[in-house]
Amino acid sequence: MLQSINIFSSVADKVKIQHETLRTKLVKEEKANIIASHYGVISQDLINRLADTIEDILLSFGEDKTKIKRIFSIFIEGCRNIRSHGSFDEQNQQTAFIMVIRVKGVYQLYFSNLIDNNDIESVNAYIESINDSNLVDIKLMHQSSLLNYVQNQKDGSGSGLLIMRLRSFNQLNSNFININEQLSLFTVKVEVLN
Amino acid sequence: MLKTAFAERYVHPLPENHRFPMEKYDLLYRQLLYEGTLESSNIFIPDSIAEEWILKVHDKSYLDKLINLELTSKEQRKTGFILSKDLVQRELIIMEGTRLCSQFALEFGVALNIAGGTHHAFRNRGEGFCLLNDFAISAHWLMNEVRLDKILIIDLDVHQGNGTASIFQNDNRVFTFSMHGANNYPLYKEKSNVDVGLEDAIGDNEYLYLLSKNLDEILTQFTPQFIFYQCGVDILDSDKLGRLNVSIQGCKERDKIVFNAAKSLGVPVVCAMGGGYSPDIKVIVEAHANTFRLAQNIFI
Repeated sequence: MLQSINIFSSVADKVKIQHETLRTKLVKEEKANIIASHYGVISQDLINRLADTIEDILLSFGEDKTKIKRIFSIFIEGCRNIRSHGSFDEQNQQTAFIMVIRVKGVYQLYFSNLIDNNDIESVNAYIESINDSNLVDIKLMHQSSLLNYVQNQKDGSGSGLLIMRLRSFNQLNSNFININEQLSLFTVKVEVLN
Repeated sequence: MLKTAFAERYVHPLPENHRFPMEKYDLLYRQLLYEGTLESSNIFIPDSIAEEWILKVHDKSYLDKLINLELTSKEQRKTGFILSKDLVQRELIIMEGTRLCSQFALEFGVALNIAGGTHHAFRNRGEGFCLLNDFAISAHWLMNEVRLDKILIIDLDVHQGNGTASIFQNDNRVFTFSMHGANNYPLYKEKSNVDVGLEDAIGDNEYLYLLSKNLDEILTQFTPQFIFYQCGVDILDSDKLGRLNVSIQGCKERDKIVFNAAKSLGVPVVCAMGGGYSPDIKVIVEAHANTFRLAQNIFI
């Protein structure tokens, strides 16, 4: 008797598939230029290395310093969000992926991390509220989140998303893909307007 | 004029292999004079601070125990030093050094203490090589004597400014900002107005980004009249205790960000050296010397 075998049974494998699928789609269909792409744990060393690399590449593209700073800021905030809030898989790994691409001269950054299914509703509502607010209101929200507030790896929830919205001058695009009955993959796409 | 506090008594003899690099103060002083960053006219030698100012911050019972050398062995262990009359005298001189720096900064825009930044001293106890809290004492002097009521303490030592945060936790005239290693001493962190806990191995780019981002917001919203800056160099990748991955160039950029911000706003700044535990003393001295060189370039 044949048994059905799910070769992508682990959470990490499922995230990996999502990463590869998205990457392939972006390269083949949108002719994206991949500047940085990583699947796995987003370690501090990785962030250090990618931060330097991305800056060098953007400089080599002739981008102006202001734009590089904006992209850099979104990159750091996205990575910190993943490390602060990403859920862990069954191997106790904070499996995630990130991608920085350029499509027709426009920069896009993708940040994907595991999220508890119970948190989807509140995160979704929060992103909607950010997208519904204008940049002045976002700035005020960000300022009030800073003062009298302890910021460390586990706190400061949502502040990174506010900065992504502020620095991109654009709305945040997000989606949730179900991984299993406990976890989903939460992806934020940030397209940086000129 | 870049006024700088230094006294020979800043260098207190310690047992061999003590982990506090006491000799850095003398080496830094000599280096700055040798290379011409400072001249003898820049240096002033502080005397002991008046008890009146200490008591604005510290409990009388604690000060008495300190002066009468009555700290218990356990209390002394927490400070990291063996208590002696000379050690207490040294601390009183450092306190006055920072207080006089505050006076000079009001006149010249900037002043630096070659020691100080004793941010682990609480109202009623000392910790981590700190017996009395120089920024807290000087802040009280400014609030009482100069009638300032918006003082910002920027603490960029790798260890959280726990004593300072605790002293000012209920005083909204003083805003405390500490950016430190999240996994570093002290294990229990006090609550500053803004704490940024950094992960181990954070590099220059992210470090400087987080500093700029937070400092910009704080300066915009708090609009300080005066800044104290604790510029510990234990954030360096070479530091034995630091756990961060900031280069000496990154450390210099850090100082530049703070000084440029203060200068552009016209806010006086007092800077005290704080920690630094790189195995090679030359690295510590070079990183501290950069702070003075920048202060000369930016303010003078």
